[in-house]
Amino acid sequence: MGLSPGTHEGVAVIETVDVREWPRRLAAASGVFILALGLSVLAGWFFHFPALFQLRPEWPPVTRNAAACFVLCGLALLILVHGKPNWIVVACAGLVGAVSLLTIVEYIFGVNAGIDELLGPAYVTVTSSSPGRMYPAAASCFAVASLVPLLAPKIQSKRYGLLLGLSGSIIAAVGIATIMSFALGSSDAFGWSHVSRATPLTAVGLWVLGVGMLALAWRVETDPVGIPRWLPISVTIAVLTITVGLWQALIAGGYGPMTLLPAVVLAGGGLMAPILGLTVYTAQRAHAQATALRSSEARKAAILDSALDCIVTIDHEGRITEFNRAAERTFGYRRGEVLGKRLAEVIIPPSLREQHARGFARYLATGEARVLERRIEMAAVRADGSEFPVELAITRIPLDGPPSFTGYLRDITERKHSEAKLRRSEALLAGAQRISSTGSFSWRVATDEIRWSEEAYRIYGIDPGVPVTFDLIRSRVHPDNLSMLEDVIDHARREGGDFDYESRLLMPDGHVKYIHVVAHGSRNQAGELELIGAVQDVTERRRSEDALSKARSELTHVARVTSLGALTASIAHEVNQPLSGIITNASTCLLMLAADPPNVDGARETARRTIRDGNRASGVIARLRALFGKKDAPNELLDLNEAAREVMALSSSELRRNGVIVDSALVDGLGAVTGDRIQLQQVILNLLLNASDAMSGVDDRPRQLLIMTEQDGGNRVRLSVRDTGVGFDPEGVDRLFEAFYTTKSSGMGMGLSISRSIIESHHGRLWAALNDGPGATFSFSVPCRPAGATSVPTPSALRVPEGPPAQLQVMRNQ
Amino acid sequence: MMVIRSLVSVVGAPVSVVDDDESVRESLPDLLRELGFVVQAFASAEEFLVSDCVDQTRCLILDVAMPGMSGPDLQRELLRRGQEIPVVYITAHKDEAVRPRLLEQGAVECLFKPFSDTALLEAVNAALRVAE
Repeated sequence: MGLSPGTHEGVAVIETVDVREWPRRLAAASGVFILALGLSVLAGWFFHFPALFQLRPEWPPVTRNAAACFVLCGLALLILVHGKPNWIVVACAGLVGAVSLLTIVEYIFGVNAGIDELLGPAYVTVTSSSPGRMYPAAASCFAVASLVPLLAPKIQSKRYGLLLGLSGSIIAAVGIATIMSFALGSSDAFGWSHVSRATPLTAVGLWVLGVGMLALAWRVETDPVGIPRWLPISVTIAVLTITVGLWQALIAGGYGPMTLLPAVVLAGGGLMAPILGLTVYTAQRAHAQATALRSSEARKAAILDSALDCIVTIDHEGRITEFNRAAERTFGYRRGEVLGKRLAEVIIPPSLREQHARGFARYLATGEARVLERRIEMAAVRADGSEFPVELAITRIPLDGPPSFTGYLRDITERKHSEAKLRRSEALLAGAQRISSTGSFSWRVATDEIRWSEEAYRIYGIDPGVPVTFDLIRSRVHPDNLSMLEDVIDHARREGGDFDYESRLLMPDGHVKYIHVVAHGSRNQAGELELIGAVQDVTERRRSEDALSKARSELTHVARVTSLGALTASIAHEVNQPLSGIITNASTCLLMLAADPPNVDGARETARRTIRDGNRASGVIARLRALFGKKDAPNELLDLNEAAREVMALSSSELRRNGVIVDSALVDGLGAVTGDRIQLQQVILNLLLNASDAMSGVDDRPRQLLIMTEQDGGNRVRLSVRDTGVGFDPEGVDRLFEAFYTTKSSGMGMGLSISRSIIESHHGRLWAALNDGPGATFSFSVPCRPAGATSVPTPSALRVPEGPPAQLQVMRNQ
Repeated sequence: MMVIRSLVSVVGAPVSVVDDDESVRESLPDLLRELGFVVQAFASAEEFLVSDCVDQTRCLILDVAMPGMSGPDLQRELLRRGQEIPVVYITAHKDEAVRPRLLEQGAVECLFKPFSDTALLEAVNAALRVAE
């Protein structure tokens, strides 16, 4: 059956060929029988045991030559059954052919070629024309038999089968005719007058040889129907042969050629032969057609049943004539229920029936088809009344007579669902991208084919649908970031690696956008590198971060001012100390000058001390201004030891007032730290005051405070403040640094939180640890320049790439 | 100036100064010596305690806050040893609440830095009177 263009499924019909075993076995059995017969006859002659070649003394003997031919034919038959080697078959056939042809020549020309007693003397010669000469029918049969294998290697197998079949039938027919003539009491079938007569043993041998050849031919025949095409001819020949044989036998038996019986046999046989052949031929054709039809029907049924699509055929009245299993499953009807019913009433929803009927009528009337040979989508209805979407293709079946149609229907509910789901998920994705200001992109590196999502277009401020090129991207990237973009592209091309960087866009209206781009490379099925990534508009985040940074700086100032309260007394002390010195020294000076004689040297000395103490007071004021003045100090190179000493100087009296013994272990030659001196000093001050507070309730041990600095590896310096105070709850260590966390009755709990944020803004780390003994140690560690180096660091030296090496990490603010 | 000098009650009386601030240890003894006292200066309470001035000192001018043993600690320690040396506290912390507590503990006076030479002299004189 033809397949409509509406279906797009391959149909595969797999047929298995029945390899029949019986012809092979029959041929082999015949070969063995003939071989055994021939050998037994030869043995009988050799051992003078006439029963083996004569059976009865009055019967003619089987000649040695005939026996040898049987042996050779049996051998050839067996080898043909086996398949190879071919040369033995040809050799056997050659010998048989030579002997039989020479024998025939002897008969025809009345000569003796000297071959009759080649294999030994014919000491029994009952009704033999010449001692040892086989009878002419046998010679003819052997000649025919030898012809086929001789020709075999040069003949195509099909023709070989035909030849083999015809020869086999002739030989078998001769055998049967001979046996029949014996049965009728005449031993003269094919027994030409005055020449050798047939013997029943040879007749049987010939018959078996013919049957063997027929079996072999049957096996060679490749007709799928299984009945050889040569059979009609073979039957005709066989009947003719038998008829002639009987006719001859009757004549030899004494009937005159023109007498009734031989004439009837000859006429009847002659008439029967073609009739039988024709009958066989007709039957054979009918069988072949029936078989072909059956297999075609089976194939069609298999296709219908195994088709995934519903296949429904209708006749010109719109009545269903075929309804396959897929249709049964899909629509919920049994095939038997719907055959003969109108299609419209079965699977077309009521709302569409009118339309269907009109279309069908129009086609029948005018031949105008709107739905034929096309794929259309429509609604269909199931047995339970539920409607569902189908895809439909209708083809007119190319047969004469009233038109009939095949419809291929497919339930596309799932597909519709998937499509809807896909649309929905695309809409969701677009929405999510819109809300998160994140666009996605793909970049096929080999072809530079770049695809953007809608949101990516929006971020870059480009109309959706414009083909994306690197030139287009470059036109948007901030000029300061262009070289970085080239680096990233080069790197991705070369290494095929992932990237993750922040960059800026300069929009045509002049405003700047910050974007964060992340991409991951992978290879597709064709092995091509493709990067898939996301680009996020982080402008808002950057603004928040800037605002946060500003807020933090203000908060730091608040904290400083808060600390100021705690330090007021200390500051007063620091100022009062030199003031006291000034006044005392001035008083002494006056006294010395008023003495008699005036102590001028002493007065000079005390005046000098006065100046010194004045300077000291002024230094205190200067430090205070530095510490509490709020200004955005630029990053500067500073010596951590110096910064620590200044803070210690300012806070020493406060610490002293708390009875704190301050020791310091400041290691010389630390690497310079780049940072905000005031902020770092704020942290140090905070740690000192915290340590002092932690020891304020301690009376049973010295209140010792140790401030230490040291090199922490090659590129960091560490400052630690160790106290002998009350320590902290180890489980609350993380909370120590939270804002508004405090264990003190006074204080905002901002100190450590702000300190940590300051240290982190210096790319450092602030942590706390309990001592082995009483108290705790708070430390921070910040990056520094290599110890001993003096040159000002370049910005590139500060850019230390971190993170996995496979990724290109580009720091901000490049 | 002569007026001030004339106020010195006991010329040559031994006075000790204990203060961790070096400038105080420089300037104050000079002034006291100009006023006619015999002065020894010590950087810490512990240093004073181990010196042989403990027995002779008639007036102790003592800083309140010092690392290690504080001024009041020293005073208590002296009392524990039975050494009743009149004490004049000097402090740079102008904490009015401290003064009455110190006076209660038996201090002769508590001077807030910076103080005048007159205030100092009055306090030392008062101390020497107590010592007698």
